[in-house]
Amino acid sequence: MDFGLLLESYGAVWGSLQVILMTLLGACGGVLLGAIPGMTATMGVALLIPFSFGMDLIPSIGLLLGIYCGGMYGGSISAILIHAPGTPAAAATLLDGYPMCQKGQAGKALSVAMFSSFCGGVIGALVMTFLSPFIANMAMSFGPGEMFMLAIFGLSVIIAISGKSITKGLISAFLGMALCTVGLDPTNGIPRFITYKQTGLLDGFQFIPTLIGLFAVAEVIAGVERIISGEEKQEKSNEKIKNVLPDLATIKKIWPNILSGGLIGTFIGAIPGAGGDIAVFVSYGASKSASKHPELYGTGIPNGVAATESANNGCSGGAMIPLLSLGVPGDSVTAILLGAFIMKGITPGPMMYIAELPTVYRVFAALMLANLAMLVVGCCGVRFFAKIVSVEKKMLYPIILVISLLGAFSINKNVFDVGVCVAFGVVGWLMNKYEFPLSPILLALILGPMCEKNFVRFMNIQKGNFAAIFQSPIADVFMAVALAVIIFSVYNQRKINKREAEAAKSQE
Amino acid sequence: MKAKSAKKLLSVALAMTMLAGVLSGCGSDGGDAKDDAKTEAPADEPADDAADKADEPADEPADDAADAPADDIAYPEKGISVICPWGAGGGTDACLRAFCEAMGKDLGVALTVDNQTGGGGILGHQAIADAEPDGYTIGMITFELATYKKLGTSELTWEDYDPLCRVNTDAATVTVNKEWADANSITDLASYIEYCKAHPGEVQMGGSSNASVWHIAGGYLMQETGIDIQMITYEEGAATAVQNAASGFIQGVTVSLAEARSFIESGHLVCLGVMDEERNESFPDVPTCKEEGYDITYFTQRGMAIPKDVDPAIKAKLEAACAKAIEDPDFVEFMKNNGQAISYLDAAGYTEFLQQSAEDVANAMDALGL
Amino acid sequence: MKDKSVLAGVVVILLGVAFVALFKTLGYVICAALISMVIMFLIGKRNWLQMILVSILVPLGMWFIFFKVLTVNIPMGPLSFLSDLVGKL
Repeated sequence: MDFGLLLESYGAVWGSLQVILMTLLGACGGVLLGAIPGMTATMGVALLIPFSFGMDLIPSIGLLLGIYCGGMYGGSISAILIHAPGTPAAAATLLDGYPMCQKGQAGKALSVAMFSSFCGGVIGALVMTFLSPFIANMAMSFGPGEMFMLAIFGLSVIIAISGKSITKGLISAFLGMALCTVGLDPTNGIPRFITYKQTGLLDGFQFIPTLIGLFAVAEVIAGVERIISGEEKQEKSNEKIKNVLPDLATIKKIWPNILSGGLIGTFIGAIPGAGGDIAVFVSYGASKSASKHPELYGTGIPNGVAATESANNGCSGGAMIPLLSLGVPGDSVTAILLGAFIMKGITPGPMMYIAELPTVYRVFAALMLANLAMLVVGCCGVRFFAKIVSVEKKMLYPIILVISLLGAFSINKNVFDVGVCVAFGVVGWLMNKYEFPLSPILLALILGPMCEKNFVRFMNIQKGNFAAIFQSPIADVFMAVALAVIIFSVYNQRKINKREAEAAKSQE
Repeated sequence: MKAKSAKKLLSVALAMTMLAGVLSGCGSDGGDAKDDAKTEAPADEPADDAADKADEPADEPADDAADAPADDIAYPEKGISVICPWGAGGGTDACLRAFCEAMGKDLGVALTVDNQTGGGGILGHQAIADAEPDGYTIGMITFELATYKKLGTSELTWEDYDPLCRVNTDAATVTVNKEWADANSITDLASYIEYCKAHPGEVQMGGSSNASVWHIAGGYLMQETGIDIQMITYEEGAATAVQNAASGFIQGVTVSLAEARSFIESGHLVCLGVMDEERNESFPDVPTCKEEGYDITYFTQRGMAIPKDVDPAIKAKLEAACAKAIEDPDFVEFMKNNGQAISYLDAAGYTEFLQQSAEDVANAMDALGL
Repeated sequence: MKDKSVLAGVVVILLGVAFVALFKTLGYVICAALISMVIMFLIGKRNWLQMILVSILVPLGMWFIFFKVLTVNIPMGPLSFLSDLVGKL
């Protein structure tokens, strides 16, 4: 670790006006893009790459990292305010963010999200700066067996976040798994189920239209229902947002969640193929399980928001690790960043640390700067964003619907996806009516393909010998943790239910 | 909730879901892919005029073209839309965007890339074939086109297009894990083949997704050398396959040099041979399979194409623009940095190539049992 | 009362289905404006000026962001002339 060079790189990057401006521009763009459901940070980065053709490497990296970090925070804005995750990684933020908004604490939720995003991003950037080689080695040891166990572990988190009825959570999860099977078989390319007639389903149910449908459209339908039946209250922005940052009392409460979230996000982000959408749920589940009052999660507490937002920004630092150290992108955005590097004539990978160390350090500095830029943009915007709740609900719901449908279309520019979105809107609405939790479907949709692909691949490589998986220490660890999560969560939930039953009894 | 209203609710909701599914299916690709893509294309910005003319006789692509003399037509008058069947930021997309910029210099209008992804490239390829033949919607076709019919996922073949020019080819390789190679005294392609023959079905190589070019290259390798290796598919893409090979989970990959670059440079992987006519500029030390005694060449290809029945004068202009663009210094530099090889063939040459390639691919797929 | 609200929910779903069906022919802005107006009316909004302005401006704005800024082609149906107009900017 060459500290002199590190300091010099920070100076070069943070002192360059062009880099600062580009990063701020990226952060602005990222926050706005991230806030629009259907427009993901990946798209934003991909679309803005051509703009960076004319620039030097570091300003263009600054721009792209700004979008990346901004996008991760931006998604939480729409998740909190309108129950429509702007990015898949924000899907867990609405679990506590939206209830906070409904309680009239939108501003607080937004500032907690922003602060946690920043801290999580810093944690990720620090880990990246000082521990990259170590983590990169760890990432290399993830083969099909390990990835399969990671997916199983992710699925076990479903039990932790199922809420009151674990059975219902499991049913949701199975529904999600069943939905995963639609499309082309990943290993053999054979169309499954109804894919035969529909070219729109060749890739299975597109994730983002499904996400938007389940969360945004379903909420619009529910909202309309509430308005007609008179249950909906119009929020006047009574909140006095004195400071854009959360107050000290809140920070004292949430810092453990931020720390654990940031670390979890970084480590999961560092595993190629696992990204923010998984990390946020694991972090949420972990925070809930470790909490003294797990029953509060889901009712609108800042801890829930802190856990998820720090995780998704920690991921950005984490995903950069395999990108720079191995040349293997940690997620789809880093895949595009990889292309950007190559276009400038640099090949990220083990050689980069030897041949281009100054560039590596400059990227570290740029990521830290991007997090800072995101904080600045967020601070400027919190007051403004919070005002959105005061838009009359009768106008807000149609607006959300209209934006969401467009978002669903824009992924593949395929009307079919809009139909998928509406269909899942119905599914989500029904699930809410019968109190089935939505998050398990989402987790299953994300992890199902990963689970299947890696399991089949593992069996192919091991020629059917599943027992071989026990030889991998990493896989064993995940297996053990998954079991622990399941047992602990079931026990925990039983305790909560018993407590509530006794409380209800004593009130009679 | 009362049982009666619950039941009513459920049935209505189920009906709605089915209706939504059916309607969107009818509205888009389910019922009649050709119809849908035809109405899809006019929705793209430059081809909007064509939408009005959709009812008119199809042999008048643009009103002006019929009036002006053949070699000085008023084309292009507005921006051209270029369909890319693959996602933004990928290899095809990057190459196409750079090429479009170069073409734009010659044609004097903006060429905007329109990513229409899905179905392993089918949706985009279909959109190109079904586009209005007015010269304002063109596209990039890639290797995968040759696999669809055999896989049974689509009826599309190269014959549904009017090829303009080939832009790029990237050759497959035989790249193996260095540790494994050292442990088994494998120093070059010949010793690798020997080892595979001595241990049939044991060596595991990675491609990218099922029926992708690298996967099929593996099949081709097996066919031509008579070895029996197991190809492992990686739907996530070549990057994961390369990482698995570098870590030792599989023994090697058949992907291109560009994709395995970082690990070759670091020494985790060693390339035994590139399946190309000549050595790759960026990797001058890597021999071709030909040099090693095995006459195998296999590569992915990307090229420009237009739908059938476009006015020959317009086609000629496009071809000329392609020829100019391929030599544009900015484009050349971009491709070099990106590790992608420029390999130009004009319209006639490309058509011939596509025909030959379709046959080769079908054979290789047979070897893989696809 | 409960039944009425559920019915309202169903209407929204129907509108969503209609949106998908008409998307190709009428384009995004018109479809969006229509369902937006209908939903607002359905849930009791009667301020016509606000309704019309929001129903037209929001889809228009979104289309502009996606089309001009993000270069994503959105079907506009009869309003395609707007695409041409803005495309030339």
